[in-house]
Amino acid sequence: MNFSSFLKTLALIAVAVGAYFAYQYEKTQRAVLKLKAELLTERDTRDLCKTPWLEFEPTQIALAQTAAKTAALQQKKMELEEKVANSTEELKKLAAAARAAVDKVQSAAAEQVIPELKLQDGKVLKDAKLRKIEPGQISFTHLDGIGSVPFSQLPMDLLERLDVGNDSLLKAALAAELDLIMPATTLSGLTLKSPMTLAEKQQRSSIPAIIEIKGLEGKRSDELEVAVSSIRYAKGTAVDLDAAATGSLKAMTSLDGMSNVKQQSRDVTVSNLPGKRTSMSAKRFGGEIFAESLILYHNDQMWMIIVGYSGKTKSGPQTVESIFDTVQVDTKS
Amino acid sequence: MNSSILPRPLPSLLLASSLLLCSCDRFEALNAEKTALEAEIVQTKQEAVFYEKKIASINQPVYTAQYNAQGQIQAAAKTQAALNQEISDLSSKADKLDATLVRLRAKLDAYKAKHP
Repeated sequence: MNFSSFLKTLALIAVAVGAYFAYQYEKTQRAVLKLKAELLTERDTRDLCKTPWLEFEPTQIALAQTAAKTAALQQKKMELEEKVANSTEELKKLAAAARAAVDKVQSAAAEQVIPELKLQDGKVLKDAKLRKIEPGQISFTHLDGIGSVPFSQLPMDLLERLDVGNDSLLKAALAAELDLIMPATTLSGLTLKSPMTLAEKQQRSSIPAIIEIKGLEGKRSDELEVAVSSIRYAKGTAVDLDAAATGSLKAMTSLDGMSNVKQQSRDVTVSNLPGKRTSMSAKRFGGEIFAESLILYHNDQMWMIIVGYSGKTKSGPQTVESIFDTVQVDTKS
Repeated sequence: MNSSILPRPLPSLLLASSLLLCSCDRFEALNAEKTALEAEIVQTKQEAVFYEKKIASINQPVYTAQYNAQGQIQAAAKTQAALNQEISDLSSKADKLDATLVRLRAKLDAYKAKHP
């Protein structure tokens, strides 16, 4: 084979190889075009799921985060509820301890005779012996008989020892119990806290001037009773607060077996409203019975709160004061 | 025989070789494109399966799930607002109780110390 023939052969092979590659190239090109079309179809198929998922996923994440936050808040609430429950129990124990400490001192004081009890007005009670602590006063037996002395006339050290007056430990404990444990009760704009739950009581009046009367009442096992009334009068009705104060305890003073009934009223102001505070004590079936009423009046509306208790009631006078201290009237409602 | 249907061998060889060399580069690029496309198709199919599984996991049509989730988020916002208020009230009550306990305990201790 000469060189020319060799070149010819080579050229033929080159053409054949070229043709083969040209065929393969075209075949690959067709495959590529087919793959491109297939890719577009696959993308469409994928996007049918991907697009809605990508729209939903942030919402799902947000929902999970929200659920986690809600759970954390619920956990915090539970912890706080437990803390409040524990503190409430502690407060009840502390109030009971205060009651026990004061009872112990008062019982010891009732056994003691004070040779000379000097009052603020200069009077002296000889051989005075504590008989009974009442709202605003203390009853003593002494050489000249029996008498009640207002707190304002008694020496400070005695008031402090018997835990009566404004700085009373027991009153503070009872007030804290009422303030922090008991829910507030509202009746026609008057709000108060009571050591027991007050339930609605149907009340009727035959007095034509009274157009509406509502009532609440509650009883405790140690003979403490609380009654709250709201009375709406016809417009322009003249209301006599003194007569109302006297009448407020009529239901109690007219009970069977009442004797030695003592009653006195004084002016008070609550929520900038004028009012009357009435105290009653009496003997009944060998025991003692007490009642305190508070009457407030504003724009043809009268509110009446009566707290009754007996000698068996635990810390009766202090409880009354604690209840009355919580009374508020919303005159705007 | 000097005449031939074939081109003159040397220039033809050179032309064929040049074309072949050029075609080789384009062919490689085309093959690479094909491989890339095949890989992308596999990946796209995998993604489609992935998202199908995700959607299947919520057990309801995705737009229904979206609507429901948005409703749940709105309801949770109200629940959280109420919880925050309750927490604020409870915190305030807990603080008040703590302060009262400290004050009363001190008062009781002082009373007991003075009147044992």
